Amino acid sequence: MVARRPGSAVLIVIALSAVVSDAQSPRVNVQVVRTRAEVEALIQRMGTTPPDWWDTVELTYPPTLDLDWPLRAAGDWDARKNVGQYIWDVINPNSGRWKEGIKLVHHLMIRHKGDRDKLGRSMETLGRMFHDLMEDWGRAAFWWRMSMRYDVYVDPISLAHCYWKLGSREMAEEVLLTMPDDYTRHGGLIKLWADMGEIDKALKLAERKAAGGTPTIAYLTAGDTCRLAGRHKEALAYYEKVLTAKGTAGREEDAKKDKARAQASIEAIKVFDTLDVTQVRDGTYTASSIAYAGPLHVEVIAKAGRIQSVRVTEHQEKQFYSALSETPKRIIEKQGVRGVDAVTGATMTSEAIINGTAKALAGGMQKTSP
Amino acid sequence: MRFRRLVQGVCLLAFLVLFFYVCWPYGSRQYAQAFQEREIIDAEIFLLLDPLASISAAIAARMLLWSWAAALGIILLCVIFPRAFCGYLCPLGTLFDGFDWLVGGRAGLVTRKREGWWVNVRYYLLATVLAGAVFGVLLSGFVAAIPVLTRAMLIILAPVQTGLQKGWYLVPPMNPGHIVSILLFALMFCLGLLGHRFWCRHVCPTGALFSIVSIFRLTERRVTAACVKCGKCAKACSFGAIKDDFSTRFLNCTLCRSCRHVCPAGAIRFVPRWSGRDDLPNVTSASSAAVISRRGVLAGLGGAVVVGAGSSLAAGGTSSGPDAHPPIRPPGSVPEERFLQLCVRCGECIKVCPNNVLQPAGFEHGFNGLWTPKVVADWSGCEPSCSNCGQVCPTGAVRALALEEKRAARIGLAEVNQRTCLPYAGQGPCQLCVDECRMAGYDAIEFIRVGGELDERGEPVEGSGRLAPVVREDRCVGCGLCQMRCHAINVKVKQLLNGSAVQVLAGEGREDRITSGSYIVLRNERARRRDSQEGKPARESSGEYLPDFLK
Repeated sequence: MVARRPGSAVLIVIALSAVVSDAQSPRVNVQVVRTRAEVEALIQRMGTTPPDWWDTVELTYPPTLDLDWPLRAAGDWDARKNVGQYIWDVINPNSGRWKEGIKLVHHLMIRHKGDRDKLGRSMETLGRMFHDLMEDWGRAAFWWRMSMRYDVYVDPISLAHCYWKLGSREMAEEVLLTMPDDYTRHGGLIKLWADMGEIDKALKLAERKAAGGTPTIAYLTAGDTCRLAGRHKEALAYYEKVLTAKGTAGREEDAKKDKARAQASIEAIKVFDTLDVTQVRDGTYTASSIAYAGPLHVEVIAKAGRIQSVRVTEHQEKQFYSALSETPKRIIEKQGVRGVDAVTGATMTSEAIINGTAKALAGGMQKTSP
Repeated sequence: MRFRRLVQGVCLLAFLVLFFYVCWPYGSRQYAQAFQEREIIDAEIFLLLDPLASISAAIAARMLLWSWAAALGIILLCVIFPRAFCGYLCPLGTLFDGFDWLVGGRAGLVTRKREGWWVNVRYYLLATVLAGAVFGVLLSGFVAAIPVLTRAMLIILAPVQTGLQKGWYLVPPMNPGHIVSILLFALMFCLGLLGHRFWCRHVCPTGALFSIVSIFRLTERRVTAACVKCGKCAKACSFGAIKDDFSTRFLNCTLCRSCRHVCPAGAIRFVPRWSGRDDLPNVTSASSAAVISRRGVLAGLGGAVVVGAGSSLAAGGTSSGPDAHPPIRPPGSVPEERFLQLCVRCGECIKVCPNNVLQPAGFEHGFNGLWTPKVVADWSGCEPSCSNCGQVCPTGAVRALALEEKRAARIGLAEVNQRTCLPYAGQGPCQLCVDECRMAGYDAIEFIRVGGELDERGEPVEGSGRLAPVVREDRCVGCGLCQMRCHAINVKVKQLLNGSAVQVLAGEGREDRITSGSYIVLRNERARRRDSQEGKPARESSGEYLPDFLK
């Protein structure tokens, strides 16, 4: 089922493994709470000191890079020459390069200290990188607020996100309440409200966004909101709406991606979130999942609402044999697939067994609505 | 007799344990550790004890090998106990004894009344191997006792071991080289039908070497006047070491003492060479069979020259085509020319290689490349936790490397085919190679965004484009794990591609082939050179994190 369409297959695998890893470290929203004064002090303190890794990372960049970094890149796309495109193409996709990227932008900021526009733009980029890449909310907020002094536009939702993460709901809401509707491409406003626990507010915004012409992303975020809150039935309904939505005022490409993600989330909910071993009818169920070197087939026997046995019937692994016996044992001990730890050094084989078991059991779930 | 059988049994058992148990690097994913924990004595000890392997390799490569120490040791032993290697230690000889007992004895040997031209073949082969070595072509892999045996075990029995212990799907496919090796091995046993230990007696050049050593023997067989001339000893001798008058062909005798065991008169003694002058019959009588004829030697040398020259030509003709990629050699392999001169084609490195990354080459790299180890990255990749191949190489064709060194030794360079690679070709997302390389700890494949779009301000459109893999040449060592994953999933399981979209290629500039020195140092030098070539100035300090103008 998974193997035939490469695009969605990968997405499903990602969606599933996301759930698996979530399950490993249960999402307990430990939200720190700080007063406005405390957050202000924190931003000031963090922002004015370098991160602890600062001196361990060398400043490095391709010699072809144009360090003048004009405000508008001239000519064709050239990631070897244009700083913005270099960051986009080379730095952002590779976690191993994030720190050197931040160092580069910091270097450019100082290089252009005499140019007000470039200085501000560097600061904004620094804030964006600390936020998007490092999840360093204090420094992100610091550099963004610095850049605003130079009249650079800063995305208010992202700044509000920093405030929320730093512990001040008050400061976050102060920013968000100035925004009556979500005009973002990826539903950022809805997501943040949902993250802050304002589910109803998020869903209301989503409905309005859907009516506004971009139903796929609106319902997708609504679905995610419900899923996060454990409201699986509603989540499924929203995801279905994504799949049936027609037309978009936004980009066609985005709508296509939204639909693929909705499909993957539906699978994940059915297979993982709503899986209840006690609801599985007696029987022998099989499923397969792609492991390290090829497909891995699992046979699960359920009896009286319990997982009796999990057996890898076929595989093509070259190593990681320990996972083949250890993971089924752990699944039986846990009587479920959530919270089962992957065997160290054999993560992919373990995850394939966990995914396969989940899929097999999902096939035996009684048709009670999730 | 019983003592000899005991020693033979122990040696054969030791050989099998070393080959099938010690050179079985599984158990944990720490392959080097798994191997080292089992290796109490050198896994390649029997290969070291085959003096022809190390001597011929040393001549071919014109270098002194430390394995000479073992060769010297066994040769000294065989001065004291002539050809004891053949009679007691050689596991191949013991297998022949077993074969004779099992098949040869029952089937009734094809009897030969006369000794023919073949009696001295082993000397000609020895001359050929040595002459080939002088020409820089190593032929001992074809005929030297232990390499022939290890390779046969590798090709015939190792797949069975893998199949039974791990799964038959893990057995790599055969190539013509396998067939030739099996035929050669079968032929050796078929020769046994012509007489006991026919191979050892007439063909084995390692044995011939020991025979020549026997000229300086300190011990020998003597027959006393008590001899009743019953002829039982001549019949019992597997090595044709007993003449018609029951005296000894000293160069054939392995001191196995089978003759003394069957002698009804107790007329056979094994004594120091300088004692017992009164023994009968007269030992000085000439013998036709044991003497190396001048004509034969000349013919052998002539043949050696022809074969040597022919092999050099064949070797020269292999890597000529511009499309033909040279084989990817094990990490730590010396430069290719020297590699071919040192590699005795024993297959030990292939046996100890986890997941059969190394496989014996067929004829695809010419005659000279036959049975040499090469990386088959479609099958599997070289594990970063393993440096076993170099540890078992008896001649240093593959250098023994510490793990850190091996992780820096480049065996090739991965190249992404942008026409087929799924993200480049717009065929969907894929990050198998990137993930694999990161897991292996090299982090040599990273993403680049391709097909990104620009908005009206010239800024990248968020979410546009695709993430495609790009190889960092400064980090890639050519392990091939990326290729293995792409092949296993995209080619075999999903059938989206006809061949892996990322391929490891060897060749000039892509691999580190040095005879001495550190690969880590080499890597650092390369980095420095690249920096200076690109005209990278010493980085100006970017100064304070929070410069004054912002405070």
